[in-house]
Amino acid sequence: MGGDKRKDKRNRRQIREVDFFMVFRWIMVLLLLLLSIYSSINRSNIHFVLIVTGIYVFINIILRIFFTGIIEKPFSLFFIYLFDIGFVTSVLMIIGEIEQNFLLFYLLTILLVSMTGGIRTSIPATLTSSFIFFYFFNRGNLIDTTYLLKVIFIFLTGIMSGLWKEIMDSKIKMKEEEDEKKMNSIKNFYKNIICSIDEGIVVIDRDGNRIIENGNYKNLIEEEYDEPLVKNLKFMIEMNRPFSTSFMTRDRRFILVKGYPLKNEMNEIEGGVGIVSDITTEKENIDFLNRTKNLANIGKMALYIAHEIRNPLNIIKGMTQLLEMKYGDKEYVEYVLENVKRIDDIIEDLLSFSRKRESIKEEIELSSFIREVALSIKNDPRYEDAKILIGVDEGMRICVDKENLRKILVNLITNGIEAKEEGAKVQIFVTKDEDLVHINVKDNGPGIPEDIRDKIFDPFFTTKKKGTGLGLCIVDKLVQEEGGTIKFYTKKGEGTIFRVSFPLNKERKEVINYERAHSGR
Amino acid sequence: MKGLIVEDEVNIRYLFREFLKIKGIEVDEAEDGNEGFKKICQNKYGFIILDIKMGGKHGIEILEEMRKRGNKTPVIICSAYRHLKDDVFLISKENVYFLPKPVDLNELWDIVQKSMSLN
Repeated sequence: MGGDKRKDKRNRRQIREVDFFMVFRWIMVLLLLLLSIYSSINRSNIHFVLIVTGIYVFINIILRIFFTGIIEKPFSLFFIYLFDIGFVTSVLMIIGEIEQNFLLFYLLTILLVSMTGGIRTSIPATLTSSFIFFYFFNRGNLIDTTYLLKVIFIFLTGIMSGLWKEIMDSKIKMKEEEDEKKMNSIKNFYKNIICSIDEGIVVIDRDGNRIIENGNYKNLIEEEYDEPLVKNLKFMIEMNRPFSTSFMTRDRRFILVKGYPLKNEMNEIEGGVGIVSDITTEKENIDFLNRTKNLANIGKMALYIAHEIRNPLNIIKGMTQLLEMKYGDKEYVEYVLENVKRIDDIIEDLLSFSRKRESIKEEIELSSFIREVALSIKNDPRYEDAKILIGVDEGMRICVDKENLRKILVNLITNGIEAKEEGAKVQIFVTKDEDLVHINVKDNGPGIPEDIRDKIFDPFFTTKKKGTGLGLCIVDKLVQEEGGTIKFYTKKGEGTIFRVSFPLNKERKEVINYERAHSGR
Repeated sequence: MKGLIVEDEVNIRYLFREFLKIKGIEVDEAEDGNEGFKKICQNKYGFIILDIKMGGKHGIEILEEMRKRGNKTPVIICSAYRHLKDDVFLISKENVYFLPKPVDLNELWDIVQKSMSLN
C-alpha cells in the first residue's frame, strides 16, 4: 500500500511538472509568433507563419486533450521537444531569419525539456539542437569557431540543466522517503498504542465499514455481539452523541462498551470509535465492596436494635413465663416463647455482621466433622425425613475455625433440604486439587432461576416463606473470614451445587510433600 | 438475704422483682450504674443482677471495681449483647454468671439459687 501511495505522489508531481512545461512552451510559441510577426511586417510570408503556428497549436491541443497519458511519460517529452524544435526551425526558416541569432529559442527549449525530463531527455535534445543548428546555420562547416562555441554552450546548458533536475529529483526523493519513514514510525507508534492496551478498539467509517480493529476487540467480542455493536456505533454517528452500555455475555463476562463519534479537525463526523472492556473483575470487586459495605451497615444497625428490641423482648418472655406460673397455661405460652425465640434468632443473625469473631483455627478431620454436623441436622425434627449422603475420604484434614465451618455447613445443608418440598436429598462430597479443598453440597431441588442468581448472597433476599434472607449472606461472610471462596453451579430441574473452597493447610501440604519425596527414594 | 437489681429499664426491674417475689426473695433496685455501685458499697447482698449498657457506670465497670475492692458477691450479668460474655469473664470468672437477654426466668432462678447457696 505504501508503495502505491509513493507512486501516486510521484505521478502527481510529474503531471504538475508537465503542465508547467506546457505553459512555458506556449509562452515560447507566443513569443516566437510575436517576433515573427514583427520580423515579417515587410514580407509576404506572414500567412505561412500563421499556418505553421495554427498547426502547432492544433496538434498541441489534440495532444493535451486526447493523449494526456502519453505526454505525461518522460520518454515522450523528447518527441514533443523534437516537434518544438521543428516548429521553431520552420518558423525561423519561413521568416528568413535563420541566419539571425535565434539560439535563445533553442536554449529555452532545451532548458524546458531538461527541467521536466532530466538528463535522459536533455542529452538527445542537445544533440538534436546541435545537429539542426549545424545543418542550417553552418552549412556543414565544422571548423567555424563561433559555431563550435555555440554548440558547447548548447551542450553545457543541456547537461547542466539536466543534472540540476536530477539533483533536485534525488533531493525530493530523499525528502519523500524521510517523510514516509516518519509517517510510518508515527503510524506504528499509534498502532502499537492501539495494540498494547487491554481494551478492544474498533473504528468504523460513516457507512459502517471497519477501518481499525485491534486483536483484543476480537478476543472480547464474539461474532454474535459484533453486529449489534457496529449497529449501535452507526446509530451513535447519526445521533452525534457518545454512548456507554454494558452487557453480560453467555459465559457470564461483563462487557462495557463505549462509543465516541470520530471527528476530524473541522469537527465533522467521519465515523465512530468503539472501546470494549471486560469489567468482570471490576464489577465483582464493586459488588463485593457494596456487599461488605451493606453488611457493615446492617451490623451497625443490628448493634443498635439488638439492645432496643431485646429489652422489650425480655419483658415479653419473662411476663409470659410469669403468666404460665400464675395460670398454668402451657400451650399458648409455648407459642409466644417460640416466636420470641424467632425474633431473637433474627437479631443474632444480624449481629453476626457487626462483629468479627476472633477466628480460632484448628486442624479438623473433615469426614468425621461433616458426619457430626449432618447428624445434628438429622436430629432436628424439621429435617428428619431428608436424605443426607456423605462421600468424603477419611483422613482429609483442613485448618479452619470449627464454629464457622459448622455454621457454613448447617446453612448450606438445611438450604439444600429446604430446596425440595418432598423427597429432599442432599449429597456432600469433598474434592481436592493441588492447593484447595472443595466441599460440595448438592441438592435435588429445582435449581436457582436465572434472574435471581446474582442476588442470592444479598442480605434479606429470600424465596422461602419463613426465611430471613440472611443464611447465604452469613455463609458468604464466614467463608471470606476463613480465607475461602464460595461458588455455585445450578441447572434447572436438576438442582444446585454449592462449592466452598478452602486453601489446603500449608504446613500439612509440606508434610505430604516431604512424605512423597521420601517415599519416592 | 436480699438481692440487688441494677437495670435502667423499669419494666425489666418490675419483671425480675415480681418473679423473685413469687420465689420468696426480696430485692433492692437501682436505676443506673452509679446508684447501683453506691448501694453495692453500702450494703451486703446475696446476689446482684447487673445490666451492662445503662446510665452512669456500666455493668462491666461495676464488676471490675467490686472485685478490686474485694467484694466477691455473686454477680449475674444480663445483656442483649452475647458477644460481651468473653469480656465479662476476662475480669472475673469467680461467682460471675452471664445471662443473655431475653432472659429465661428458669435459668435465672437456677443461678439465683446457686448464688444464694454460696452465702
